[in-house]
Amino acid sequence: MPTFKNRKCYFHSEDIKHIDYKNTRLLRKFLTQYFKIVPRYYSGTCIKHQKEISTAIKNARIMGLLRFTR
Amino acid sequence: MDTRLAKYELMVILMPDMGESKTAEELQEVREQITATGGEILDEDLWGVRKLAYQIKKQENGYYAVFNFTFDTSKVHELETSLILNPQVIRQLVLRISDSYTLKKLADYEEQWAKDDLESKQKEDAEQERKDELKKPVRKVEKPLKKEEKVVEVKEEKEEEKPKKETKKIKEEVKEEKEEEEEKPKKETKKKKEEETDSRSKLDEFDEKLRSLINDPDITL
Repeated sequence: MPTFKNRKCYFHSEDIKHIDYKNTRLLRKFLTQYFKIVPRYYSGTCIKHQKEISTAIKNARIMGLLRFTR
Repeated sequence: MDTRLAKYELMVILMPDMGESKTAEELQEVREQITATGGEILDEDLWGVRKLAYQIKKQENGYYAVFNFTFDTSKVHELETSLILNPQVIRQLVLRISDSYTLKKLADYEEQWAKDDLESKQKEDAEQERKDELKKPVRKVEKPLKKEEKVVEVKEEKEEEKPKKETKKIKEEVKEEKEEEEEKPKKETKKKKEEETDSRSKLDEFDEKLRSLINDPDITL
C-alpha cells in the first residue's frame, strides 16, 4: 500500500497500458482477502485505471476465473 | 448499409465431459459462425479443461477457449445470442478490443507468474539470510560487553533504589505528622538536614523528589 506522500498509480509506475481480465494474478493484487475490490483510497490507483480494473475483475468473475466472495 | 469491421475477443467455456472430437466440432462451429459473416480469425488460444472458481450450471470444470477476430459490428449480437442458446456452452464473453491489442496466451502468463514467484522467493531468502547474518555476530560481540555493563548498571541501580526507600519512609512520616499538625513536619525535616550536613545536595534532590511524589495525585499509600 503506498503512503499518502509518495502515492502513485501502480499502472503508471509499471507502464501497463492494457489491463487484461485473463491476468488473474495481477487482478488479485487489487482484491481484499474476501475478494472485494480494493477502493481507490487504499490502492492509490488513478480513476482511469481503477475503472479498468473493476471492469476486468467483473469480467473475470463472470468467466469463472475469480470467485465473487470467500 | 456499410459493414464496419472491428476487433473482438471471444472467450467460451464449453462442457468439460464431451470428449475431444465433440469439443473440436463445437469449436469448429464457432469458427464457422465467425467466418460466415465476413469475419477473420486472427489468433486463438485453447486453454483446455480448467477448474472453475465456482459452480456454473452444476459443473466444477470447464473447457476454455479464446478467439481474437474481426467481426461485423452490427452482427455481434446475433453471435452472442446463438452462443447463449447453445446448450454445450456454459458461458461466453465477447469484448471489443483496440486495434493495437495482441492476444497474450495463458502459457505466457503462466511463465510470467512462475518468474514472479521465483523472484519473490529469492527476495525472501535474501532477507532471511541478511537477518541471520546480522543476528549471529552481534550476539558474539555483545556477550563480553554486556557483563561489564551489567556490573556497572547493578551498582547504579542499587544506589538509586536506596534513596527511594528513604524518601518513602520520610514521606510516611511526613504524612502521619500532617494529620496531627501541619507545621511540625517542616521542623523535623529541617533537623534531619542539620544532621546530614555533608550530603546536603542529596537531600535537596530528595526534597524535590518528595514534592513531586506528594503532588502526584496518582500515588496512594
